[in-house]
Amino acid sequence: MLSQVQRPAPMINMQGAVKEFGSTTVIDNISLQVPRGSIYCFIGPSGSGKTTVIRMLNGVYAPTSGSVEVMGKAPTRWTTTDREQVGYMPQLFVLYPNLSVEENVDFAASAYGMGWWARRGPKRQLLEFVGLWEHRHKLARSISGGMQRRLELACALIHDPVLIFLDEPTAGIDPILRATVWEHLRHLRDQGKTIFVTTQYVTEAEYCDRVGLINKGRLIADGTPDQVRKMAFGGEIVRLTCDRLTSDLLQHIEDLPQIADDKSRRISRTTAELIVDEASTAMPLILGVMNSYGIPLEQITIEEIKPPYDDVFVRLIQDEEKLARTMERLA
Amino acid sequence: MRSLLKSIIRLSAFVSKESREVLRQPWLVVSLILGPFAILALFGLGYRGDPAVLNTVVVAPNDPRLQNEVEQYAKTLGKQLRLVDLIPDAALAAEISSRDEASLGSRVSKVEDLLRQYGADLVASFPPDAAQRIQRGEAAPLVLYYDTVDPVRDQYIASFGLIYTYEVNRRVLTSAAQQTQGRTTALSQDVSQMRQQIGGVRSAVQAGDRQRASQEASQLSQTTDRVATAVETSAGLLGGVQSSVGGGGQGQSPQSQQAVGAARELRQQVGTLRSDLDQGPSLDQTRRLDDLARIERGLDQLDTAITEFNQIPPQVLAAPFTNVTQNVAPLRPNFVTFYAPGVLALLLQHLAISIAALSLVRERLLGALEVFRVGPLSAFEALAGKYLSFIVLSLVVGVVLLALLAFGLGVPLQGGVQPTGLSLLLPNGQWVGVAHLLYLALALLLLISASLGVGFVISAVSTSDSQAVQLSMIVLLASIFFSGFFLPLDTLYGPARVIAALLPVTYGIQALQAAMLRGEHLLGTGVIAGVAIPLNQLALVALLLMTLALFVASLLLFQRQLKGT
Repeated sequence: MLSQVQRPAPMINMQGAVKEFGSTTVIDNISLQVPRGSIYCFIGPSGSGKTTVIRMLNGVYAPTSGSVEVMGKAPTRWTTTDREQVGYMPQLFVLYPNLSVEENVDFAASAYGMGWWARRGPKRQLLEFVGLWEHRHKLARSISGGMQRRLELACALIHDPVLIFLDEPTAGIDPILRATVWEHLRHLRDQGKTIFVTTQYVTEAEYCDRVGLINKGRLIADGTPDQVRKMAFGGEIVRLTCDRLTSDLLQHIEDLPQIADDKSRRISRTTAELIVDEASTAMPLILGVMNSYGIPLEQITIEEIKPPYDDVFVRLIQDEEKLARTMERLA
Repeated sequence: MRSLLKSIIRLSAFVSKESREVLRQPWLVVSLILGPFAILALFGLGYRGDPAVLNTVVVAPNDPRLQNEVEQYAKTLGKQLRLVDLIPDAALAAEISSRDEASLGSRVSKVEDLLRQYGADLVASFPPDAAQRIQRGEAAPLVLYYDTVDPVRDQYIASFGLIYTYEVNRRVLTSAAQQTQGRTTALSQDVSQMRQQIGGVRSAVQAGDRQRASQEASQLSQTTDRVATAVETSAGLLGGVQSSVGGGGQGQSPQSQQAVGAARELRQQVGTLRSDLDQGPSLDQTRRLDDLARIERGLDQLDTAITEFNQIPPQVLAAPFTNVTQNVAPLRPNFVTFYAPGVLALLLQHLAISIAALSLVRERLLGALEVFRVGPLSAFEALAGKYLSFIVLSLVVGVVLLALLAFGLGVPLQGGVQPTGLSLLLPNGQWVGVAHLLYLALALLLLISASLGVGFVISAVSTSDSQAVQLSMIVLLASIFFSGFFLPLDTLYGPARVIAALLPVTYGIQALQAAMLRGEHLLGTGVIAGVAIPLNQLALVALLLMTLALFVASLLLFQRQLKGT
């Protein structure tokens, strides 16, 4: 994990946060930080506690214990001015179906204190940005689900917030539209906004600056997408293909200090996958060992493999559950 | 200053949103206005307003004279009684006129058969032993049988029974008075005979025949005694009536006293004449002729009194008072006009409660409260914005309905009272005072505001659309029964009046009726606890207090909901 030293104060700082409803612990000791001007993606299966965390971060829920600081103070103590800096798009559809696209945006803007004149320019810009300007006179109930999600996004952004909470903005929309939404989010990040977004689509972690994986109320991974992937597999993955990949040669390679012990696996007679600390450091050393066996470079294929995030997620969840079962047995 | 401006903009967000959402449903707006107007118009066209007609079967003894009387009663009682049939059956009449508890089941069974057989509403029995009962000093019962579970109809028939019995009694008394007057008609013949006898005495006195004069005077004396006795009896009837109504002194009226006095004086004069003729020292023709002239003048007076008595109709003697009512209200409204303010108040309350009750629930179900909670919007701004937009919407509906009532159904806006001060000429040619229109507008505004408060409180405690609608309907039902809409408030017991006091429509109806039926206006003054205040309408004050209390209550509930999302 990268050092936080000498960095500006994070936009979001959650330390040991716990949320209980009655005797049920919904969020269990979560700590995370979100730097300013980044996209933090919160991934977890349905019912894992993503929405509860968002509600703790935007002040709807106060933590039962632990601390939550957003924009330097507890969200439950936000002033009206603080709230004007925040955009929120909840998981459920909260548009007014009998109002037009434009009227919904107008309502959201007015609710944040923007008068007709102040919202005139940003409204057009934003509706064009989400591709709804031509549909602005249509009723919200008459447009497609994807357009409704984009309209909600527009409503959450109309007042130009510095911090944006998006609860599953891509749920229920097709992959092409999802890519468009993520493009919009990266564009906003580039403008300096901080975005905290939840999703069930684990592959979307690739689009973010940082990723948090949550399962059953516990944060099981937190870091950049690569860090989290590495965490799942114990290191980076290097795939080695060679006709003369003997057991002796493979053993020799596995003996290198950069190769993780007992984690390599042979895929076929000619191919093996090796778990390494750093692919860029380990690959020249592997090639050196093969060279010492007299294998010319042109007979070797070596590449870093980035497994899909689905696999990363499954691996992390399985590890977490295995650990939990072990702990239970020990207890 | 900037934050105040932003607060106003946030508040206006709801005004704009709610108005647009309603206007997006034009048929809803049309049905809100035209629906109730159409119902009131149909009510006006379809409601007869006449008392119910009771199809009646009368069971009476087989006496043609009595049957004739019964038919006459039926005609006299007016349209409410329609004589279906008259059953001449003394035994049946005796049985169903009985008050014997033991035979009640059998009587009811027979009466039910009659009601079914004739499709009648009422069976009236005329007891065959009425005369004997009266002779025994016992009132004869006129029994009415009917079969209804409707308490209003029950009371109506009971009142009708009283009128029916009164009418029978009146006719009996009229007949008795008629017979008494018949006897006084016979008196006129006696008076003629007396004139002849006076002539005979005069002729004998002029001829100097004292013996014949004495004989004639003796006959005159007998006739005079008979006339005097009859006059005293007849005068007793008139005197009884007149003394009961305060027209006379101790038991007799001036007219009857005059008649009785004239008869007594006549009797005394004739007695003196007879005594002088029988026992006087001489005939003394001159004095006797003077006596006879005086007796003739007395007879004239008596004759006049008898004629006057005979000229009084027997119906007047039997029922000396007639019913004259004078309503001093500024307006005599028909049913549509009378119910129009109530319907308007009830409709506006229901409209305001329904839209407010659904409003917050829908925001909550939509998930908007969570967004409001995160954003800078306060509960006050959201609620005030909704209040404003719904007040404007309901006021528009109220004003349009008021105009439709005034120009479409002819319902007055100023209750027949002449406008004072600055006035406006309406398109229908009526002048209406500005102070009066302001009063109407204030009444509508306060009724709507208080009703919105009820709706928002309902909305805050409801967990779903259907629950909000159910609670609104319960308030509507309570309003129909407890607001004085069709049952006067003073017919309710104390605890029930508490419910009435908690309903905005109770005060709304009072205020709108005061304005539309009695011409109440804003500058009217009244006195409360010895202090003159500019408004004499406590209803408006009550609505204002209710508005403030309900706004605070709904604000607190809404704030709690926002915090507890």
